Amino acid sequence: MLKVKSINAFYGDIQILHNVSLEVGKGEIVTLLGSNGAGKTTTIKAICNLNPAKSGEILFLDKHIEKTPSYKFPHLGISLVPEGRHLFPDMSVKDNLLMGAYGQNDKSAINSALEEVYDIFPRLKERSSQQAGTLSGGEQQMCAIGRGLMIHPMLMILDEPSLGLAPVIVDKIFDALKLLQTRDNVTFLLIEQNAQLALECSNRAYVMENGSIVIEGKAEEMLSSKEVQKAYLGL
Amino acid sequence: MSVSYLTNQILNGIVLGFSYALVGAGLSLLWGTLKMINLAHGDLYMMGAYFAWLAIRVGKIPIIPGIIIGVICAAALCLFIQISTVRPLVRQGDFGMSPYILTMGLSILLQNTALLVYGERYQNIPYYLDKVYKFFNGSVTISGQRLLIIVVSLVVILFLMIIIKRTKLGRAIRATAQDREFASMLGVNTKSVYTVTYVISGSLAAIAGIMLAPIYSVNPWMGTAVQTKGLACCVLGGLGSVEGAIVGGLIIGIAESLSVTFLSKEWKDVVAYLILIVMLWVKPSGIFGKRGAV
Repeated sequence: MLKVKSINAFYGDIQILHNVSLEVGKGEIVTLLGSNGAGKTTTIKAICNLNPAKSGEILFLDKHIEKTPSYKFPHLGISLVPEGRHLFPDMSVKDNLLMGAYGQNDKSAINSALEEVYDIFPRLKERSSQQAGTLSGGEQQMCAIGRGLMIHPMLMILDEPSLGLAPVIVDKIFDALKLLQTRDNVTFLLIEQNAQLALECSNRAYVMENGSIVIEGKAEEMLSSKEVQKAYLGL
Repeated sequence: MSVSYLTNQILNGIVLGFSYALVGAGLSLLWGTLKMINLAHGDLYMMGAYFAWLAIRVGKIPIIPGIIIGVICAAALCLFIQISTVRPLVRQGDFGMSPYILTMGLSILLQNTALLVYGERYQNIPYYLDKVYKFFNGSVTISGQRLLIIVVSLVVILFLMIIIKRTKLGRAIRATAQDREFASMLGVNTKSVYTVTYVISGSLAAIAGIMLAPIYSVNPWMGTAVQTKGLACCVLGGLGSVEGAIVGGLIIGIAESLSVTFLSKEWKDVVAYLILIVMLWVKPSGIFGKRGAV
């Protein structure tokens, strides 16, 4: 579904990504692992054209999207749930969710998408008129994911969904992702620091180091790989 | 001093307050979304008044279409100003001092253009509603023009609030104000949001100018005092908050009118700015102050 072929990305003159290639197949959950500063977020920014790659190819459903401006991504069926969530803090939860469907005009489709999001995260329904900035961290993450679901994405890119959340909430969020994968056939590209958890629910994974992919493979194999265990799972 | 005199003075204060509220709401809306102060805002108020004068007095167009033409011309002027000057500035991203310099220049340009084109003679527009209304057995009287200002302001403010709070455009404006980059990622054309916001903001000032033109004479400098007062109302209510600008406008309007009653005409500005200074001591973010959201 998503193919990234040897992209190189820079911040100013400094090269951050070196020939990064990765692939996300339809219906998969693929995790990008790596320590802070390994280039995970930069990879996502390059994919979403927020910090365009200088060279390399990015294909979505076999179409080149290197030049596609980021605001057209929802039309393609790609949702980004960014690091730090980027909710609109002074808007209600409902308005935040509605922003997710900004490009759409079919009111009944928007309303049914809203109901589906409330189904997955009932908490959001309870809080629908509350300002998003006053939600707890877990609720904010649910709201950010919910906003991304409003367009019924084919591919959802999540940047550190578990950051700063209590383990119980993280489990809830990952349960929701698995449900979306199996029930709605949503594909996920996931960035995580919580390697154990991410690998347990992923199909495949890539490990990044200093802006390059160093290990790739099936998630279950990685869970048992000595190398990964030592470096990322603290076993 | 009779009660009816006091009531009338408060009523006058409310009229004044609503005109400040219209000017202030535009300034606040602009600050909330573009994070810029428009120093030419008062001059859009002035241009609105001149457009109405041109339509009604010079063009002999009946009052209601004349007012509408005035508002449309002012909105067109705002659109032109936004696209030709503000938009290139927004493209630069973080713009620091440049909006102040730009809008100060625009202010001088607009005032002197008005001076050249319309001359320095003060012009008059007839009252749109030349009647006097009496309430409570004649103890409260209000001229039709002033009543009209209250009604029009209320309708315009209500309309503005509905746009901001309830419509898709309003959501786009608020989202752009709060997180421009991500709003754009969700498909919002933030450039057009900025343009629309500027046009709405300027049109609010123009509507205030058009409504007040029959009471005060139309002249190239009529916007300067309104500009400062409007900004004071915004700061009092909380810069960036449209509700705040309305409340701030009413407070300052009523305070001014009461200080004319109890002190003298010369004291009104002193009282108005004193309220502002006290507010800045007590709560610098203003009554509805928050993170600069709409």
